[in-house]
Amino acid sequence: MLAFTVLVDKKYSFAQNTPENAYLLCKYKVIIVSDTSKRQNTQEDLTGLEITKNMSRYFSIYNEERTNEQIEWKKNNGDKPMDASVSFSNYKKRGLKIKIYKKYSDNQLTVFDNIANETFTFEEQNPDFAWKILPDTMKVLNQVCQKATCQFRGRKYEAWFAQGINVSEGPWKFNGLPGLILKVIDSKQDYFFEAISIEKIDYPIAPKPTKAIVSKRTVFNRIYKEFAANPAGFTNATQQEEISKNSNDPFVQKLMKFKFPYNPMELTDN
Amino acid sequence: MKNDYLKWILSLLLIFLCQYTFSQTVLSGQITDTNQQPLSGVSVRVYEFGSTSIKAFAISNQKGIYRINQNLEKDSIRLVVSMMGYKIEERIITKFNLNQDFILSSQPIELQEVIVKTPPIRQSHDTISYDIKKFANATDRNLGDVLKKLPGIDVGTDGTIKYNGESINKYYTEGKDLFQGNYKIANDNFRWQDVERIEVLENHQPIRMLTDIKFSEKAGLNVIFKEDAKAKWIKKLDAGIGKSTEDYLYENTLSLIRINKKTQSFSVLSNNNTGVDLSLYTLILTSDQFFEMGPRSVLSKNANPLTSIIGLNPPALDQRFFLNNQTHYVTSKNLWTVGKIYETVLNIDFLKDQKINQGSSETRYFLGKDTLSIKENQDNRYAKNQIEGSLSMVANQPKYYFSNKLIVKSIWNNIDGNILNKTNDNTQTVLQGNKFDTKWVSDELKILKRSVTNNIFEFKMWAYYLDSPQSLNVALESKNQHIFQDVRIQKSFFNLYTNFILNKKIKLNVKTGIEYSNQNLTSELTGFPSSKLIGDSSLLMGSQKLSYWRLFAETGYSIINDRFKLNFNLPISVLYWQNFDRKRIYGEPRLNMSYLFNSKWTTNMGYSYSYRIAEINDFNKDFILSNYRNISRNEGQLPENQIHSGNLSINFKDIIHFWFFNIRGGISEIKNNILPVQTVDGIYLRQVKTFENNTTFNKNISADMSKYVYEIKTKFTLGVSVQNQQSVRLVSDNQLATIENISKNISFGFSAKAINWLQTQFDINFTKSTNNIKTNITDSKVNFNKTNIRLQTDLIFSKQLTCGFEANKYLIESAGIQPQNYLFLDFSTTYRFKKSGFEMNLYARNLTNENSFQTINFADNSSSTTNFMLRSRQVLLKFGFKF
Repeated sequence: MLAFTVLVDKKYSFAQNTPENAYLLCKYKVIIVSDTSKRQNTQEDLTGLEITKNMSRYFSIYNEERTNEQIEWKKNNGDKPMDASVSFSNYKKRGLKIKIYKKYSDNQLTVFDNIANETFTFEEQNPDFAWKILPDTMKVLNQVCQKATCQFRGRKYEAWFAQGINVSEGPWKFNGLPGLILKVIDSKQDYFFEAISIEKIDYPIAPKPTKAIVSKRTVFNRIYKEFAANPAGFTNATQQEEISKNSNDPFVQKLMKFKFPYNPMELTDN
Repeated sequence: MKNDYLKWILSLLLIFLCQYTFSQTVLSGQITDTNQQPLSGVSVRVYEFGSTSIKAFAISNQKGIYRINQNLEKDSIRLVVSMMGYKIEERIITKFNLNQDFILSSQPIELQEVIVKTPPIRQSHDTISYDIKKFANATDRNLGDVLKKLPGIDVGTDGTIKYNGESINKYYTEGKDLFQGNYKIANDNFRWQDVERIEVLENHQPIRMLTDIKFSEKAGLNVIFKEDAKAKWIKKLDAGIGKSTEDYLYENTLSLIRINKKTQSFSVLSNNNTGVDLSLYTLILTSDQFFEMGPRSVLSKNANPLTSIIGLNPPALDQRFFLNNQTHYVTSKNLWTVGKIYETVLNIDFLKDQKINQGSSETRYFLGKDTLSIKENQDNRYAKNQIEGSLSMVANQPKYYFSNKLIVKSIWNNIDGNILNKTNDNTQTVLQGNKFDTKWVSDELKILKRSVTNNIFEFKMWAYYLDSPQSLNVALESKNQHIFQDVRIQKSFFNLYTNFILNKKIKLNVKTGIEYSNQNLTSELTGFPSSKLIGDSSLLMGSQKLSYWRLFAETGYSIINDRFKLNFNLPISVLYWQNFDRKRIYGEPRLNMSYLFNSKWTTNMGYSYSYRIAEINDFNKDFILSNYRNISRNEGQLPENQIHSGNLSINFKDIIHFWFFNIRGGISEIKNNILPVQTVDGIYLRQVKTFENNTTFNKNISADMSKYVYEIKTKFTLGVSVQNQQSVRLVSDNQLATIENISKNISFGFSAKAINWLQTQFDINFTKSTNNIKTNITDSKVNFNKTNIRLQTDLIFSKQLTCGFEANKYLIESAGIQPQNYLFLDFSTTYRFKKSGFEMNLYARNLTNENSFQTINFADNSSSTTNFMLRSRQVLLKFGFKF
């Protein structure tokens, strides 16, 4: 039985900085093979990377739209459950829960991610991707991009960065190339990111979420793996309820055997 | 802690090694701003001379320090230091000066030159997505208006969508086939504001299971709606009233639409007398690559009756100028998912269409020695009622396919014509009445299943029944004569086959099947005045029967790989005519190939031979009055048609620069065993179909180009085509006449929205047509040129107020006829109220009040000049509510 409360201290962070205006928003189309046994069932998302002079925020645009729709519904309809059609279209916008804040001055990343409706956060040193630059070029969004490769936490990536856009940034945790990364694909073709627009913007980026369980990267990854292997057990553990594994109820039996597909981006800790 | 020590020791060791090893160059330095503050995150790039690709790079750390360890092969290199918000520094350095510090001065962030919004067209694998809002503006009324502006896509006057020159094979809404080919109504009633994007699915194979087994050259089109539009009913009412010189006008449409992935509902109620042809909504506009006979194709083949009134050839103009109609149309199309995989579509529609065609015509029949010339003033009234219901159920899964389509249709036509005929100085008034009904029921079942060994079994069965009673009454007023013609055609048909597809590296298939058809024709003609033409009166009444069995077997072979695709089929049929006790064995080879040179260039090639089985319509042994002055019969020869056809196309597309280009050519040879012998008596023309082997050749070549210039939001199109048909006819004294029809066309156009407040569409179209008939003794040549220039200008004052002008100029030139010049002017203005979803439109049409239009047509050995009465000047005020 899992009890992650033992593994991490449950506390809240209140990191609130005065946000500064972002000048650039790059939107990436993301395609993920979350279940390698069903490669055709891909998960698609539209993500955004907002960049200010001192930091950046990477988030799911779909997910943010979804949350806003829910807030809007609540504002207009109170506690009434969403109409089936609204709820269906809203459900379809579920994107990645991950949010990454990169702060340039202290070379740190702050990651927010969810497991079973709980938001976790952890900080990590900006990783060294040890990029290898290759002479190949390709046009993405009409920008000449040069190829770079790296091996990072169990996966080999091929990235294409635009020299013409002088920011050492990219989707997800990627950064450290002499130009904005516009396309990334891993060698197993499980993860695919491609820029679909680069827009000039001038608005403050959303502050970090205030409610989150503070953890460590390695711990978070371990909890996620355990959660995927036994989501029912995990959920019940968080709800402080007990379900006996020996229960004869077929539904409980089925529930206990249910697994989430597990194919994370980070396959190894280092 | 131990790890940290180790890191330190290793780093020191590394620095030590680097300092003293000459093979590895270390380039380093510090980057600060003008206030001596270190700058982190600055990129330092190393380029070799003459190269734009980065050889090595580093990003400065928090102390502003960068290091590059790299073997530098050249003596000098270019160093570029840059960061957003600072001026770029560039230096040429030598191997001997490897410590380089930089001071960057700040400058405002300039992004203008790098900003790229989502491109309007994107491609991912075989799917091309058009971002609708990038092409649309306030003057577009519906999705169809925007589709016309998309590069690579062309929408014809009847609503047919073509992608890179080829008509599409499917029209989906959210991936579902709700419209089953009747998609014009969708394009006219979907609001573009509700559509997220249009997807073109290249090489679209509608049956998922056959995706990698049977390739398709055709593309499918998928309309993806915005999330908020999917969640609700879209209700819209347009109501219009107006006035023309003679009539009060109305134009109303009520639509009720809800489209999402699981259930779809589309209901439209529409009526007008303003020249909008709603009967186009009942047309199937999709076309399959392989012509596989099915209920829809047979139904459209039987749409033309054996008897009809003499009518006027409609002019090649937009219908709003000449269609004098009163049309009411209602449809409801509903799709829902049953048991997870089955999609059920229920479609019901009803059309009540009345139209009046008025004008005059002059028809000349070239008969060898002499020419028969007939002048007619016509006043024809058409009334058509049509009701159709169809129910289909489809499951399209990777391992299982099921489809069953049931169609029930009934059409009642009631046509009256009033003619003043002038032939050889005789003038007489002719009243014609034509009734033509069709009752149709058909069912088509297709099942495909993939076995555990990945092979595929297919079963198909389809059957139809058609009953079509027709009659033609003719009254010649001056002679007080009445002619009656009654005809009834009944057909029943049944076809069944099983197919096994070996789905290994080699794709082979073996098909066997059986077909049966039984067809009856009864006819009765009374009161026909020319005894010279009909002689033996027993031929005026009778009944014929045609029934056949066909057994067929087919072997097929497909290759599908990344570059090369091929389908080859060889069906062999044994056809047995029961009434004639005649047998025929024939093979119909079919070959299609496609080669992909690269992502931009492809070529397709095809060849087929086919044998057309005669239908009872071609086999009337008794005289039938096909219109008031033509009678025809078949001498008793079973018609046989053999068709060879070949085609080649080369296609180019460059999605990034929005270029689409295709060139296509085709030839076909149709071997026929029957020709009509024509004999004249006064106004009457007799055609007797007799045995005479003859061949018709068709050749055509066309090229189309479409280019979109994103910077000025302009689509340019250019098209060229040449068509040539050579056939033979028997004229007087059984002489053979060769007929050659040539048509050459060139068109150019652009649709531009370079400035925010102005949208312009310009088209110029030139056609030259020639009809040449030759016999040993004499020949006849008719030709004409038609030029059409169209200019449409829309002024967009604001999102609320727009106003547009359209000018159409036509010039018709033909030898012996005074050149005809026409100018049509239209005006429209629209005001949209903010938020309320209410809009007002004012249309003024045919402001120049052009009252008739002249057209020249050729058919076989006849040519005709038609003067068609047009709709007069009219004004229409429309109100639109979205609720």
